[in-house]
Amino acid sequence: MRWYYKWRTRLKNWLRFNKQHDELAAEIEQHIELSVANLVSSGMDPREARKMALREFGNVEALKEECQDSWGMRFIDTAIRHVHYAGRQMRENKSYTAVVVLTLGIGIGMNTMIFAFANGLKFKPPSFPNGDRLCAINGQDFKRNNRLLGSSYPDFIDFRDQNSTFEFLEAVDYSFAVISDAERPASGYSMALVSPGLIRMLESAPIVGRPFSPEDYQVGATPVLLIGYELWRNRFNEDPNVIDLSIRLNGKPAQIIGVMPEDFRFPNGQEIWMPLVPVESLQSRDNRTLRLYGVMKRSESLSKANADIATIAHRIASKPDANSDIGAVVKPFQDQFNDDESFYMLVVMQLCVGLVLLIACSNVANLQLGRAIKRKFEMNVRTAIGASRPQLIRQLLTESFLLSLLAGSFSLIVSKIGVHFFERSIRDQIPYWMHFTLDYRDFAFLVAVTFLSTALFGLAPAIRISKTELNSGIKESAQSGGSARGSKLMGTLVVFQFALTVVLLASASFMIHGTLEARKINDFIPEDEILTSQIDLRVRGSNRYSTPSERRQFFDELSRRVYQLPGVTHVAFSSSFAGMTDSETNRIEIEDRPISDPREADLVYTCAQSSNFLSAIELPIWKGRGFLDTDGLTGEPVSVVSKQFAERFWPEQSAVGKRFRFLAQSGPGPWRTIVGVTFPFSVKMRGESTLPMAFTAQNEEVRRHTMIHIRSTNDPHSYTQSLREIVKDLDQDLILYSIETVAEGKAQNNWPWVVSSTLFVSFAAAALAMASLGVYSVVAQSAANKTRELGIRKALGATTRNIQGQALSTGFFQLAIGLTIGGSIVFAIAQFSQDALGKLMPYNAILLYGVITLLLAIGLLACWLPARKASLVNPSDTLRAE
Amino acid sequence: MGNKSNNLLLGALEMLVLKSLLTEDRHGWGISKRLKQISSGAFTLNVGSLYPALYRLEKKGLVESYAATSEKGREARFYKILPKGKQQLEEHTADWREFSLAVEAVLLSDS
Repeated sequence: MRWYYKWRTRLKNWLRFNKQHDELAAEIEQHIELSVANLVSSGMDPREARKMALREFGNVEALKEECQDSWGMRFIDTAIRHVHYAGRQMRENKSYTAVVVLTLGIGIGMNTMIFAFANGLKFKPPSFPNGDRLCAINGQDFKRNNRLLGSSYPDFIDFRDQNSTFEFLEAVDYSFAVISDAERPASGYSMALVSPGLIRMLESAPIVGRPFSPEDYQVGATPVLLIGYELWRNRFNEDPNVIDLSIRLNGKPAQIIGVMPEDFRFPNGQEIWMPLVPVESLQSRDNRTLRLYGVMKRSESLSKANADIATIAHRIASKPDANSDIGAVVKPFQDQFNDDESFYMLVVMQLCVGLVLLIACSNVANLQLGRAIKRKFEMNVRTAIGASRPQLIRQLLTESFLLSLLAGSFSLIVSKIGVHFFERSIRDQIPYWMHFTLDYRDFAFLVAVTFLSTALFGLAPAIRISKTELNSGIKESAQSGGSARGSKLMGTLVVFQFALTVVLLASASFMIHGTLEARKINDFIPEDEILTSQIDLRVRGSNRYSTPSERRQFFDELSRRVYQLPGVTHVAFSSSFAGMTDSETNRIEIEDRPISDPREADLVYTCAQSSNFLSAIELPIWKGRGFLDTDGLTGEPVSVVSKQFAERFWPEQSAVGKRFRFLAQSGPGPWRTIVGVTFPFSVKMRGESTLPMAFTAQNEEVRRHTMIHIRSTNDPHSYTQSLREIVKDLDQDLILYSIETVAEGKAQNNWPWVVSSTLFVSFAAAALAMASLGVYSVVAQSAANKTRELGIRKALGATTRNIQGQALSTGFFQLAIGLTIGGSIVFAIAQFSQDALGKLMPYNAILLYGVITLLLAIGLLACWLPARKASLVNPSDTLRAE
Repeated sequence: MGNKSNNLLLGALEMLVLKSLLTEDRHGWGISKRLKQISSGAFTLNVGSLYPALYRLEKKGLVESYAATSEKGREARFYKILPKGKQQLEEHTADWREFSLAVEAVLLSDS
């Protein structure tokens, strides 16, 4: 501690504190000497005189402190003393300190972690050079709810040349490229056609080969491309001779001119870049296929950029060839790729971890209150020797603050580890430029939360503890009986904790339940036996497959060849697959039930599929018939609908033979007859509401983008290679993507829910552990403080059972109140979420009762253990120990 | 003790200190002796509160202190009333008189 005194002295000297202090001491000494001299001169014995003078003067130290107060200097001195003393307290109560630091650290750490996710998703600029100034410029349709649009090439030129707020403004046309060459099979990559300055805007350049030259942007120039590092490594084994290699891109010859660095995948994981050549088709203002990205000038702000761009958009709108209802809006780059749903999810999670932290704080507050009873004697002695109440509060708050400091440091570690593992587990699902590593915002959040929790857990106990009744206090603490008010506050905190835990645990079980339910949907489908894949018959620059009969021919041939593979029982096609792809919806009109507004008509899911699809997924027909191979080829269109569809629209009668039609934007389609009704089939995915299903025949239009399903008696993955070869053999420019079993596809679609359920479960587990620890420590402390009372009661004849029973009933009472309050909150939330959030958290009473029973059991165990320990104590021992 | 009477007493103490400094500059002990003397022992001053009052007065700029040698030949810190102090004392004295007259009027009324 020598360093401490040394530094304190230095600090004081620096503040000229000592000088004033010495002067005061001298003045007091003078005063006393004068008094003594006066008394002596009136004939008193010098020793007696000094004693009398001192008595007359009063408390010298208190006086010094009071004077220091008026200098405003004492603050520093006492702060140092408080910290010193608090440090000693912490060292003396290591296990208490450890529990508090762990509890708070985990609580604050979880909060910081979730904040870091939200921050990374919404606020943190992407990891590009000048990422903080990188923006996306979108068209905005004023007529349709300000819907965001792409931009046309002429718009791009106007924005680029007329703006005054952007350093760069560039355009990207998203596309898809199938690359093939003599040696390797065709494969597909995500591609971007980019304007001349784009690569310079991102301060990047090819690591091998050359960048695009102005000549590459001439209409009619030889198509050239830059490839990504990963493509170079995987397809070309990092061969530098790839430069100037001629390949086929989407069926046309093209030349590779360079390789981009590993970290370049702009805008969102692209692997091929080509010049955005201003061909004829791009010249129309209605062709809004471009995405515009720009880097603002350093001196500009988002609002100025918006004003600038809006002015230009206004100018464009007045041109004769432009749509006058379209404006433009500038957003930060990352906002272009956020979906509000995951952000909303994070907000819900933030609230939940906030609750966990509240529980942690009330736990720590409870521990402090419990210690208060032990520290009462100390507080009384300190008051007796002159400490004021504010001083005691300051001292206790300093202790809380030091604890928070430790907890904050610990939580930094917790959140770093949490963020690291979370980021690793979702790396493939998030944009490559999005990172969750902690930045200054997260750190500021951590500090703020730490301060807030210090106030939360520190203030109430500090006020409570410092309320000392001097005389009775010292007497009482010798008898170690808990004060009624203190234990009432502790009890209230336990009630509060359990209420919060019910809310968290119930939300977590709703989440898990929902995820399991989603897995149970359509569980008749043999998900592990079906291999699915997707194919798109659009070949750029070719009009192959432009007619339905060409497409039908392709699929028939594909089907014929796959059937020849050993073990294949079904080859089916469909336009979508419930739970794997986005569902298609359509509004419908039922025959003889005219509708007034087509936009308000009933919404159903639709799926176009081949005749054997229903048998491949084992969806049996309930009434009527399934599809025939001839359906959709000739005559009136037909549909097979789900049982839900039939019951919704014809609850009283059979749906077979009834007619309905789809209402497309272009107008109503033809009437179609229902020929069959299947057993129930759900298309509900997480977060969507259940709608009835109408199947249509694939043959009606034969879509270009189609899913292929192969069901077999062998391992489905063993068909992957054969399927690829068959497709390559049919057309070498076509590629298959997303080859996976139905089970795998669904799991991939469900991962955000699985991840969030896991997170919710860990929050709830933390809350449960904390609340149990809370009730345990409260009962344990009150039992320990009542040893004397228990001893006397036992001596007077109370049995172990009486005593345990009393402790249990107190605990049970608190638990019951907490659980009731928590339960009502959950019911309220469930009710609200059912109304407002589209059944995101389906309300399930049985689950809630299960949760409450579990909590009650754990809570009672936490009550009973310390009560049992207390009741087993030998009465004569405890009384003697007093 | 309530807060109001506390403040009143603190204020009163400061005024008494100022009053004692009107005739001459004094050191702390001198002030306490003088106060005892002029109140003819009607109240005993808690010496402990005298010094904080002096520091407050100094901070407010109503008095100033300087080191000098006392009549008994000792080093001591003397306090001197400043014009601002005098002015405040006058104001406060007027207030006090008014207040005490009012109190007296109430106390001595016949009802």
